[in-house]
Amino acid sequence: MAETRNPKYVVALAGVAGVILVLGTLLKPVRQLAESTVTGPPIPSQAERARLDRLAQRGQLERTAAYFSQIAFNVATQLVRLETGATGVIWDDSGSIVTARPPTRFPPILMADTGGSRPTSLTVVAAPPALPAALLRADAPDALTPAQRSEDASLTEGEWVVAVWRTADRHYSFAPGLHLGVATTTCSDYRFDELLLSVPLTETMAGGAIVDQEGLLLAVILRCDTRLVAIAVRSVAAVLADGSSPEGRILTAFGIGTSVLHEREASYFRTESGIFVHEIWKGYAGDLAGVEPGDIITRIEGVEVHAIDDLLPLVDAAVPTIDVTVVRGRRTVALTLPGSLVQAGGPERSGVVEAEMREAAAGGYRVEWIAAGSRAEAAGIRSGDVILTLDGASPRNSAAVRRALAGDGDKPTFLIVQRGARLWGVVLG
Amino acid sequence: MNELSSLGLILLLALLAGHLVKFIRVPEVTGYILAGVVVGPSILGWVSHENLVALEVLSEVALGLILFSIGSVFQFARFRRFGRRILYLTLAESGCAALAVGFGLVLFGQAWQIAALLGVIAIATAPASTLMVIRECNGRGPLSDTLLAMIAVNNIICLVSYSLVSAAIDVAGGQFVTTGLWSIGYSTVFPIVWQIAGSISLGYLAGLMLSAWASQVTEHGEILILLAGTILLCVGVSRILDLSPLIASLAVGSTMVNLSRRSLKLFEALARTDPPFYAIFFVIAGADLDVSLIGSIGMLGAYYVLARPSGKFFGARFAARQLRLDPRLQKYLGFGLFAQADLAVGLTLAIDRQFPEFATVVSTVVLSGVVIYEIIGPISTRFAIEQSGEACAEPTQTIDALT
Repeated sequence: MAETRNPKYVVALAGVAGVILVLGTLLKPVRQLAESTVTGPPIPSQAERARLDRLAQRGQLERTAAYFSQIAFNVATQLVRLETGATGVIWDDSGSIVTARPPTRFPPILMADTGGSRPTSLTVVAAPPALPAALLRADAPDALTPAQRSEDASLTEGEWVVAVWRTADRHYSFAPGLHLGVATTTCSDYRFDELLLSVPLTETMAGGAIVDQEGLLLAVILRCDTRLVAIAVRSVAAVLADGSSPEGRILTAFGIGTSVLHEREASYFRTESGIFVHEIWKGYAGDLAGVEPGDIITRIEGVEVHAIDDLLPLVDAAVPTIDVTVVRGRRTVALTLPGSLVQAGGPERSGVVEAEMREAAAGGYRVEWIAAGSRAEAAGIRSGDVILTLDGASPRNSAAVRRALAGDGDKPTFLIVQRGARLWGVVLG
Repeated sequence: MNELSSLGLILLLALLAGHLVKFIRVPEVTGYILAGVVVGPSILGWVSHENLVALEVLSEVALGLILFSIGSVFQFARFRRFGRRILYLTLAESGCAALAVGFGLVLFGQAWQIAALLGVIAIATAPASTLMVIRECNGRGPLSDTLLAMIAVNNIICLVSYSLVSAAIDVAGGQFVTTGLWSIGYSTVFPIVWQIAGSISLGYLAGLMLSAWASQVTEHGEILILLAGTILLCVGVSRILDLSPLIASLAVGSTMVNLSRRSLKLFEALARTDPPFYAIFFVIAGADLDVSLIGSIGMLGAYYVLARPSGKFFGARFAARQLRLDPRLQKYLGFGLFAQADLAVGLTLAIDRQFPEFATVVSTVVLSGVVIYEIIGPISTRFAIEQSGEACAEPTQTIDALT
């Protein structure tokens, strides 16, 4: 043990230990050094860090804005500007264009600025009065780039979306916003999926597109009654399918809503064949020619009518006038509708409709309240509707109307109801 | 409850529990730990997690003092003669425990990385509870001395093996493709070399200072101040330098015992003064145990709990037989090696950071194993000491008996 107490060894060992500690501290991996507080780069001051943070955030915002601008630039090529001032979305490669239905009717042919060198002419395919969307068709579809639709509706809340619309002089505008969810909304009798957005929709954006961060079309800005809503593409597709059916086209051209005879109408009107007119829009060609709700179209140009498709000569035949035979009650009435060569469609200004509506309202009974579960409610009559006729005649008094609506006596009753510019007929019972 | 009141509660409860368990011939340490379990968050919650964190520094001091005491086993002249045997014994029990756990887990279908990490952790034996049991029994004799020396070596072997295994996992995981073989070697081999060489150096310097100063100090109180100051400084500095406080304290003790003629007196002074620290240490260790883990131990954990002591027992027995040691040593040495505590917990924390993909399995198994070993370990150590006839034995020539 004596040699271990030799001071030389003790001191030498102490020296070795000291060297080991110093070397080890110097050679420690950088990762460990970074964890200690004494070493590392100088810590910037509070103000300097705040400034750097602000700069970084500003840079991010600028990059974000540039990204949205790029999306809008790409999407704008898939939009057209109509001469009415609205924007249209190029729907598919056959030249279909979707736009918001204006409060007044379209001219059957209108010009559109596609952003190319020359304007394109568009034909109205379907713009029925109650529909929020209108379907137009370009005469030269080759020059158009269709929008890419996002069929997958799994957009999560809080994601960025961009509203893009065309402005005058071949320019476009865009507004980024957040997607806040999907709601089911009702316009007239249609139900839609509505995209809720943090961007307020204004009149200049009518017919514009809502796209996601990939530039895929999510929704079209359409007019639902009086307000603008962003309607999801799959709802738009369903609306267009409705609007471009034979019924939709006849409704677009003449303001006449038609359907095949159902059992109840057939038994009430005691007829087996013909097409039932269930609604008429004020100011349209059908209304002007004297067609009424409850008419049953039996012949067109002398040819018997059995199915909806038999009505197609109304919109397809290139003749100035078309003779139509309808059965109204026990009478047979001959009417003349303007052919598709002649201007057809609704009133030029919605003001006309408003005036006529008030005038007509004076003649009927306004429904103030409707009993839940009554047959009238089941038929879709709402408070505010005006009952114009009962079984083809003006109602004698309000008690008669009440009896008819409530279903006393269980006798089938035919009503003509007015709601806004729309007159419609329904058999209760 | 604030820290001071929980500290008082800990001390009194420890005393009470220590008295109570004596009736059933269970070591005081087990009583302390059980008292900790009862007052800790897992049962009564009188001592909260926040209290435990605040009191952690006391645990560290206590652990430093314990390792300092164990360091006194390494008297140079003796250890030069018996060091090889100690090394052989320790390698045998560690190796058997690691292999029993590791291979068994591979057969269970675990990833080899998990098997290797658990095998390495299985090596660790808790120094604190072992030393306390030996002290309580006045264990003086070949078994007690061999146990203490083995436990000191055991912890070093455990640290080295952990570094080797973690290096192997890194290399097999293809990390050197991205970071380079050199930097892998640097980042895995360096810490272990540093932890061992650096900690020994630090302990040596602290021990040198202690023994030089101790010759100038005569009063009992002053000796204690000197001792406490040195140990605190040593543990604190080793935390700053990322060294192992365990090894550093061990080195202080062994430097002291080799350099100072007054070392014996100093260790005696320590033994008379430190019990409150130890009581606190073990109650806190008990309170830290999450007893609910035992429920989630599973087949894997059950295997680990059984395989580790078996490996240690048969490894020690085999090596003792090879060395033709005293038959009582052959028979009972293995029972003294079951305790497991903070080194194992520390390694699971390291695995959490380094290999998060394996951490869940490893920490569930190890932490529930620690709960069991901390309670069973002291009892089996006491059993070993009693059976080998060293309990309350007369002081004898210590390691000489190994010859």
